[in-house]
Amino acid sequence: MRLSGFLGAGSATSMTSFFSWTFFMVFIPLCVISYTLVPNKLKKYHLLLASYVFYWLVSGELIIYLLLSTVSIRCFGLWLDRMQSKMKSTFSTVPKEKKKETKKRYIKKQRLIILLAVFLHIGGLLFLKYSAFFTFNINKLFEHFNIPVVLAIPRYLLPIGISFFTLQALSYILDVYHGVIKADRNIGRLALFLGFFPQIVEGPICRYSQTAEQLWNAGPVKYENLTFGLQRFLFGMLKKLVIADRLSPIVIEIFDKYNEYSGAIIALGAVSYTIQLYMDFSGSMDAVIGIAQIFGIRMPENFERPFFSRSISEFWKRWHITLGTWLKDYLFYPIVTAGKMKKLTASARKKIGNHFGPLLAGSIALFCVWFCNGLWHGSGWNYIFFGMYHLVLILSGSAITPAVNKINNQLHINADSFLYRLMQMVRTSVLVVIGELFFRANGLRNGFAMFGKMVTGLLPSLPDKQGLINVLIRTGRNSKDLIIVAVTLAAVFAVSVLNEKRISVRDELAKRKILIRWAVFYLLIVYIIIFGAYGAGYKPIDPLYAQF
Amino acid sequence: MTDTMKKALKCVLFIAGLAGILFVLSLVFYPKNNEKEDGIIDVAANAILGEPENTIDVLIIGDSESINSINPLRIWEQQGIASYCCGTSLQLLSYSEYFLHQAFKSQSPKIVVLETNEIFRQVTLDDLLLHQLEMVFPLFSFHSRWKVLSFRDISPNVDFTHMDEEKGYYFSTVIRGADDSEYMKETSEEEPIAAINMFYLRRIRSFCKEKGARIVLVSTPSIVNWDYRKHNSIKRISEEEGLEFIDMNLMREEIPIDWSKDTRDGGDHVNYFGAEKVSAYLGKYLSGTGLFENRRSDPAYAQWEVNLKDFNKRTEQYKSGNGS
Repeated sequence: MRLSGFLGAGSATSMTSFFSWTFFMVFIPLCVISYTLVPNKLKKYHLLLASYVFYWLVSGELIIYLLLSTVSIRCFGLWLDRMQSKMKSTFSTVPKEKKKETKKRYIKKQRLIILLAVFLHIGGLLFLKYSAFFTFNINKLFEHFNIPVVLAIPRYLLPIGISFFTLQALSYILDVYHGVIKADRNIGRLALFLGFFPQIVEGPICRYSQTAEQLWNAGPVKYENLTFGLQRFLFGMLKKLVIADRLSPIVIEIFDKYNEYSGAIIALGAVSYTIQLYMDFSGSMDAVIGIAQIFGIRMPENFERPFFSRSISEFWKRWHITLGTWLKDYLFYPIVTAGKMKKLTASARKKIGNHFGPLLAGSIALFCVWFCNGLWHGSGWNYIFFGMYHLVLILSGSAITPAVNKINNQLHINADSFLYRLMQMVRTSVLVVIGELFFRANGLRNGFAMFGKMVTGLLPSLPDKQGLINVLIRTGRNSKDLIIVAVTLAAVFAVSVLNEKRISVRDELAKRKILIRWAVFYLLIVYIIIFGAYGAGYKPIDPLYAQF
Repeated sequence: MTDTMKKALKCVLFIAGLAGILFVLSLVFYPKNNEKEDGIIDVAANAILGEPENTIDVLIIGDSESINSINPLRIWEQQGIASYCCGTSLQLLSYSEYFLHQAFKSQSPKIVVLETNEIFRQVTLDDLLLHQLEMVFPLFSFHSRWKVLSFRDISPNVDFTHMDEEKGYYFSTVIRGADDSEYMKETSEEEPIAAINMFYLRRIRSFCKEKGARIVLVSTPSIVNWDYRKHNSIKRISEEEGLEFIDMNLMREEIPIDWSKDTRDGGDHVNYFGAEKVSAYLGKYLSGTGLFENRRSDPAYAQWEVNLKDFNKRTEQYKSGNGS
């Protein structure tokens, strides 16, 4: 039996899921054992090799995009570095009166380099991911204006994780430009920063300053890191296999056949999808962070209990954090700090006051952020609408804040009381669920149809037991599935409450006696094995964010 | 004892403890009967577990092609050979191997017929790993039985009582004809077979050899699923591996399938009328091996006669316009 038959290009696409048997029963153990066996000096090369083997197995020949991105950011980084050094050396020789002009000239040159880098990286992403969407819409326009031209819709194979590693690549170049980091000559370190195997599929979107050095200086596997990493991985597995994957067929059924269901069932579908997405994505993040921890790498968190948020703005500081901070640092700030925008803000401040002035000017930057956020998630109008929806919520939230504060003061309402905070959390969650309905709907038209049916039909159709029974029968599920989902959600919620109080369950558990610890771990493993949605009768569900 | 050794020992003990728990839970979760209510999936195929010991002469494994094409009751009627079809929809070779192991626990078939279409349905690494786990700890196979678990499951004793009246065959009289003008156009090209599938095929062959059973590769007629490329591949591997191979798709005279009415879904599967022709040929082939005696007068097989009578009654009802 030839091994190449098993390990051919793209032969293990199921490994895009961290909870596939191949990944966690073969790839990870082999990786950890071989990592332990290689000398410390070579560990970084081992991680790099493992990352490229992983990418080869899941993406095959499309690995070329990752390689090109790595080579490209190295070249651009060094080019910028040379330009910055040249500027410094020229600076010391030119007379004082010409310094400003020299600086301007060099900054302009650097901006051109950045522009070229953005054009290549974002252009590549746009071309691969969005050309079908753009062509489709151009055809629609032609049709609308009776122009007898139909463009062929291109279809390209999308490299796994391209949306994630492209943003990482750009953050590196922009950080070099801003002088946050020095350009790296070491292509191995850059390749590992960009291609580290746990993070490449779904992020988190790391900065060079956060992980590059850690990865390149990775030391031996420590027992504590191994156990803590595995515990985090198991917690992620619980979220994904027991909750998200068990809800998946219910979500598919309701969203695909919403016409056959009442408003109450559509609302159930929207809530189920929101839970599924959160459990799927945050579960995968637990796996990524857990695996990285085994190697002693500390990855940035991507979620901080988003459903405890009191406003939509806060929600986005807790949900997909690394995407939010990327857009804030590399899109929002450059726009609001641009010369023209500063002038606009100052002028608006004079005309409409200190609150609404900056808000109005900032809304232009926010529009760009949320348009890109929506489009980043996928090539569809529903994703763009999703972005715009959150933009409107954030802007309106900011606009009414002074009025709400005033009313609260006049009515002597304590905004920090538990009930008030709970009301805010529920309100935020409801708004998020509505957004996710549009996000998940099969097209924007269906999204509006579902939303309309949900709003008009929710109360009259409650509780719609028969509708629920129909959903369960059609998906081969029963009430016991819902009970298991509810019980597991309650457990995850309890852990979230403790985390919100800055109590680490893993730390607390580590203080207990070995018998208690082991009993908890055995219980968790057996719980996942018994209640996990896998094997006969279940279809493996790819991680939801891997497709974005 | 050094700290590292202590930690290594802890890891080993933890894994051993987990294995123990999984072993005990596997006993609890293993179905105690083979009825649908007991959490059994693919009930018809698993009903072989309910057949009396050592009564099955021929075991058939494969995907939906096998259960649509081969009617064990017709083979019984014409040749007196007791065959059983453990085919299931979209069956993978890993699942076929599972049925093989299950069947040989209580049966000793002399011939195993493997329908070849599934050889081209790739077993993934994930399927392979889960399958290996299921073999060691049946809990992984039957974990979804938590919904039907009862106190009875605490006892490890099993009693399989359910038998399938049609011995795994899928009866369908639906007619949706197909165009066979492009069917089996000759070529020298081959359809590739995945390495994992070859691995399983060889394991199935070794298992059958060990149990003293002959393995016969059979390609049942299908316009949608079969072509000359697949024929060439199976022909080559059958020669390389020393296996018998019957390609019914090339036997237009011996098995005269009329594609305008012998298929239920446009050439994907044959219907009852097609299965009659396939089963008649296969029965003759099996009889011709000289391995089997006609058991129709054997009182131990009285139930087969009852099942055959019921089946014929059903088909008669259909022919007279009263059946479905």
